Amino acid sequence: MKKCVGTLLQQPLLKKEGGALMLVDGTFQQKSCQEGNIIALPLEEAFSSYGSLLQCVEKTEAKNGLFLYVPPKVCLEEPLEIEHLVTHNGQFFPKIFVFAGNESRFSILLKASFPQHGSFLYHSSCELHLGDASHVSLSEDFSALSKQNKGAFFDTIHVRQQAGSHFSFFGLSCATGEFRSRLHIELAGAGAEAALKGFFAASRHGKSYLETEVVHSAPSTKSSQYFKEIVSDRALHSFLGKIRITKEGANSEASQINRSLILHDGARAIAKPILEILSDAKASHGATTNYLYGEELFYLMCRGLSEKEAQRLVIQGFCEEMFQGEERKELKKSLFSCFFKPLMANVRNKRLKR
Amino acid sequence: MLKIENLIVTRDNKKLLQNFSLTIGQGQIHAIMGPNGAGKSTLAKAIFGHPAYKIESGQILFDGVDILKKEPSERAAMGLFLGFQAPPEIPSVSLQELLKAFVNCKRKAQNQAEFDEKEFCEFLETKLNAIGLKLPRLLTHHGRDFSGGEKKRFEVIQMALLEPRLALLDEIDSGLDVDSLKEIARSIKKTRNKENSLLLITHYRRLLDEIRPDFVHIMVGGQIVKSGGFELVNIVESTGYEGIA
Repeated sequence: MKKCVGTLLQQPLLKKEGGALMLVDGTFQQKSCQEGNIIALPLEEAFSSYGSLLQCVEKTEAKNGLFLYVPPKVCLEEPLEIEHLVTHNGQFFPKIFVFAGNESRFSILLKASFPQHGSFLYHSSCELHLGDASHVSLSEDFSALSKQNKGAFFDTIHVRQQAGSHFSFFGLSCATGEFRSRLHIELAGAGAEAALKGFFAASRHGKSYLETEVVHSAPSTKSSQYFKEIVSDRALHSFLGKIRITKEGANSEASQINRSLILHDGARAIAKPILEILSDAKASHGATTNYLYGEELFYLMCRGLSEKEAQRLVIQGFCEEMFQGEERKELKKSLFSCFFKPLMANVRNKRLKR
Repeated sequence: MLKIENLIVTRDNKKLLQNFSLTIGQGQIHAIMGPNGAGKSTLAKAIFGHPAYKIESGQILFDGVDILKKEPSERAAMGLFLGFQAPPEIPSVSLQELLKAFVNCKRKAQNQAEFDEKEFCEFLETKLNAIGLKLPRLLTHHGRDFSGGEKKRFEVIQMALLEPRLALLDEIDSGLDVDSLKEIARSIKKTRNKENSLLLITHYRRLLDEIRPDFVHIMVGGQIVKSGGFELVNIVESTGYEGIA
């Protein structure tokens, strides 16, 4: 955290108990805890104690889940870790509500673990409410999906930002089954900013869908989106990215970039940007889809590199570019161990697309 | 050294080279000139085995060995070098890392020990001094957006480091200002010796004024329509390609 205007907590919540806030099969079962006025509660309990914050939530729809509150001006040095743990087959619909008080600063690392041969439907829904001038960073590491090809994992993020707040997102997934991610960001206060990044790999028969919607409904707001995908085998990745600048969003700026790299003949990537601009604002978008056997590979092979060495260099460069200047080093580590190494083992035996 | 005989090359069923023949001997400098779309870059890519170009018939021999079934990397290992007209950028890999990978690849192919970081830096500095080219900010730069001149310098540096026996330089002069062209031409000349050969592909004479070719070939419509000495450059200058074809 770069700057703290209030209380600095060096001991993050629950670290003393040795781990993350766990949602087991969609339920937050740990006891409620409070540290430096940070509150983590099972959602059911939160309805009775913090009903005013949750008044917009339908109680019957949000039985299982986590309520997290970080008071105004509180800064956390280390990330809050939240982990979804799926232990058996079934359908799970957990919800997470995060309330960031005015001028608070913290980051959240959201992870998931799955049974290797399980068949399940898991839909995680996370709502974040960012108070004035708060800074919240959310990293999602769903690289564990690379070892799970029968389950369906859906991830919905809804963020509502007040004036001067800053939201930063980095998503990572390696789908071999079905993965759907939906990001809905509402820049509701003047000067609010959101920076969204993500790296999505889809392999085998995996289907990966990313849908973003960034709504600028207040003046002088800013958003950026930068997503990359690598699609191999017979997998599919689909990106639908929407930017909406309402009449109230004058002088706002929005950008969206999507880049796909296709490794094999049977793999597919779809990108569909949608811009709806209703006021005087700046907005841009760009989408590219490239096959691995492009000019880069030919160029490297002309310099003496074998096809495999050239592929490694191009894919590694494509992945690493995403992490330049990125503080979230743990995501890069996950990507390389869960995706890059198995992929490079795979290309030894398989001719890539020409 | 290089012998191309009756080469017919297509791309997407369109014939781009028609019965193309060319022989380049050891230590010679050849130049191919021609208008846009004459097939000059196609020739360079076909010699290196670009997968988009299909060889319908003919042969390419390098030192008497048919190279048509060899991978581009194998052709490079034999001593061929292609300087690209528009070199692609490899994101997130610094130029120094690339150069080291290329040089070590060649050393490995020749059963020589690979350079470590220190050895490579010394080797690089020696070579840069020898050809009089410098890459001040570029070597450790990981990004994109190099200028055209910077990319061309980088091609020449690679050529100097890899010491090919035959270098094909595809429009190494395009997009260069007068001073940069002279600097790059000087560096290319410094890589020359009696053993290695050079094929320059260009539209204009200004590169050939700096690096005087032994043979000049005019290429139109996918084949050589005239071969000769430097006098052909003067004819092109006065009559254009139409005057020759």
